[in-house]
Amino acid sequence: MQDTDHSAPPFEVSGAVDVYHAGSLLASLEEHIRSHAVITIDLSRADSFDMAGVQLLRAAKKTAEEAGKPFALAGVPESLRAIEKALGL
Amino acid sequence: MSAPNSSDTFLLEADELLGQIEEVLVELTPETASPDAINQLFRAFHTLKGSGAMFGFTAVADFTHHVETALDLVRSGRLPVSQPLLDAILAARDHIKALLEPPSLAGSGQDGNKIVAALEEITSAQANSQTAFQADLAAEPTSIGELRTWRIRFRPDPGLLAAGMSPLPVLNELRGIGRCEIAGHADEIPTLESLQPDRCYLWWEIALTTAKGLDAIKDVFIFVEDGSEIAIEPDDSAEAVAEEPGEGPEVAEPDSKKQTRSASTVRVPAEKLDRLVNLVGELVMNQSRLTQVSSRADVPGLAEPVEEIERLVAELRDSVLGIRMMPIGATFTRFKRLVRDLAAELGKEIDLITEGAETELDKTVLDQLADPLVHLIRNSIDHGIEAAEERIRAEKPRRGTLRLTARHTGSNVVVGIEDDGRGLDASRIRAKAVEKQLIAEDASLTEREIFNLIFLPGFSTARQITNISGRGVGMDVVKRKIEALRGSISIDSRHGQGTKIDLTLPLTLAIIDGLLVEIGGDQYIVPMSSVAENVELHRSERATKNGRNVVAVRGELVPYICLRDAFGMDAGHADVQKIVIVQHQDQRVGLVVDRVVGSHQTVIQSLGAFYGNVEFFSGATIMGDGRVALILNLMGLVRSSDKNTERQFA
Repeated sequence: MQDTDHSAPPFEVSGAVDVYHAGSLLASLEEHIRSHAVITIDLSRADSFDMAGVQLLRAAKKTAEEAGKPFALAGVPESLRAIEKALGL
Repeated sequence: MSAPNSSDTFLLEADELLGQIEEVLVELTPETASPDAINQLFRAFHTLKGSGAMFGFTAVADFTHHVETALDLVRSGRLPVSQPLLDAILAARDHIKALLEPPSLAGSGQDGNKIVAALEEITSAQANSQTAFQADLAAEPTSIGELRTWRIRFRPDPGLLAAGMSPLPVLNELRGIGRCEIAGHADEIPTLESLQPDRCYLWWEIALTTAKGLDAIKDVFIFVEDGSEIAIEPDDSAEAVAEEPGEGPEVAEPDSKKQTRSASTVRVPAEKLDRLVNLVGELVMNQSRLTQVSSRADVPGLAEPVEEIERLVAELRDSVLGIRMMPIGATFTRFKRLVRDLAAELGKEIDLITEGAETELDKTVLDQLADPLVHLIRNSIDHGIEAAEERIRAEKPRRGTLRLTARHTGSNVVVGIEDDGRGLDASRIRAKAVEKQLIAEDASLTEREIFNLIFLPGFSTARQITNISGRGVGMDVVKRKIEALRGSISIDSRHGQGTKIDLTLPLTLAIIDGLLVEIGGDQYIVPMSSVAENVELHRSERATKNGRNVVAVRGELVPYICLRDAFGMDAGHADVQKIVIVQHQDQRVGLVVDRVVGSHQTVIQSLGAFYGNVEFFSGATIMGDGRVALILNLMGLVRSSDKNTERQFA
């Protein structure tokens, strides 16, 4: 069942978080959220984002919140802020 | 068979757009030009330019840019719609079409430069002149220079990302045309469990303050409008976007019709369909063999599944043939252009009216129908419809009318070409036929028979040969082509009032409902659509009149052809034979056969080029037991029997 370790390792994302990679990221993110009590996603090594990537991260946040688990993004790169701004979010 | 690549997709789309452009242009005159029509043209050219550039057709994109610029001037009221402008746009449309042809078919680039020069001349000479059209445009809340705030609600097609597109360029483009406050809404993003990563969940409310008009804003959405919800309304309170927006009255594209169409249409290459039809054809044949075998084999429980297969195969056949059915409207549209150009060339004034554009016909039939139709329309315009002065002298409306119609009758479609021109002159046709020794001087012919003489090879009564309709070749070719489609042609005309030509065509070429008959132990098929009735022929009833075999059917004398004689079989005549009476054009003709087996639906197989000149048969089919049955060609049979009769009296 759930991992109760509060110092759970962050979920590390690297490379492009886009429509081409969202499918595989989705599965591992889902698995990560299911098996950890505190969710941290480390984006410091992610280099590019598109709208699908933005949606995926927001879906992850929603999933964690609905499960009552704290959720945080770490190492948010400028490129993510830029696209969120462009999308009016 | 490979999947069509993206440039093929562009070519198909471009073809459709060019079709739309032509359709709009041929109806457009400087007087009737509406902002709607101009917008439609602008958007079509705009899409051509954008997609052209996207798929590497830079020549098309560059050239289209000039047309787009001119249309944009018209849209903004800075250029009036003039006939030279419309002509230049039409020429540009043709040039784009030529650019999209394979290089071997494409013309030289000369035309393109000339058209661009013409467009530039028109735009520079007339730009800035005030026009009534401008007033129309100004009535819309789109006038230039005045800042206005628009409230836009944009919910993209959920499949946009999956289609390789993104709403982001749209948002950026909006930022480019004015002051923009964009509020993105992420509330519809689900949890990971139900997230489809390539689906669009975000939607936007945008407050845009710009000097550009509604059309310019709509154009931003041009590439994403299919399936998207886009509402653009002027915000008179000019408040920021935080307010709850109401459902706007001015909902822009897409209209719901367009949406359903794009969602429910799949493009399939015609060869794939042909292959499918052939396969179904073979399936139908094998199924009928199976039925025949199973009825002989006494296997309990076999009959039921075989019957079920028979039902399913019939349903499959109907569905597959249904896929090939296309409305005749697209073919009709092509003729608007033809009529416009021909009328202009001959200095005549002609209205084209089309009816029944939604009537569906097999694509193969449609494809082969275009040429004969072109010829008939040319004839009507050239020889039929008079010049305006002549019409006024004859107390007719100044403008001639050409009517193209299509309607279903049973398993046929009748395509009509009707003009209100001078009609056929029976006495002149007759005189000409006598002069050309096509008929005897004292031949007794009905008016209709005289009209039919124009279908004879080499017949032409045109006093003046024009380059529009040919030199006496043509009507016979038209007739042959229609007959090759298993169709028939009939002509009706009143001198001074007009001519009507009806082409009766089968719905499909692939399958025929036939009457199976037996002659000398072999089986043959008579097309059921021609069969009127079957009667018995007793030896004692035979009579001879005018060298033809004739039988009395309820008081009416019907000539008959003895197929045993025609096929060169021995005259093993039984005492009682069957006559299948068929309707050939306006004539009833009997075909004497040994036995009538019954009705039979069959898939037509071509006889191939080697047997192409066999006059009596139009095709063959394979029967359930594997034997071949030939399909009778009534026209050929009747023609040959007429020849024999003539020879007898010569």
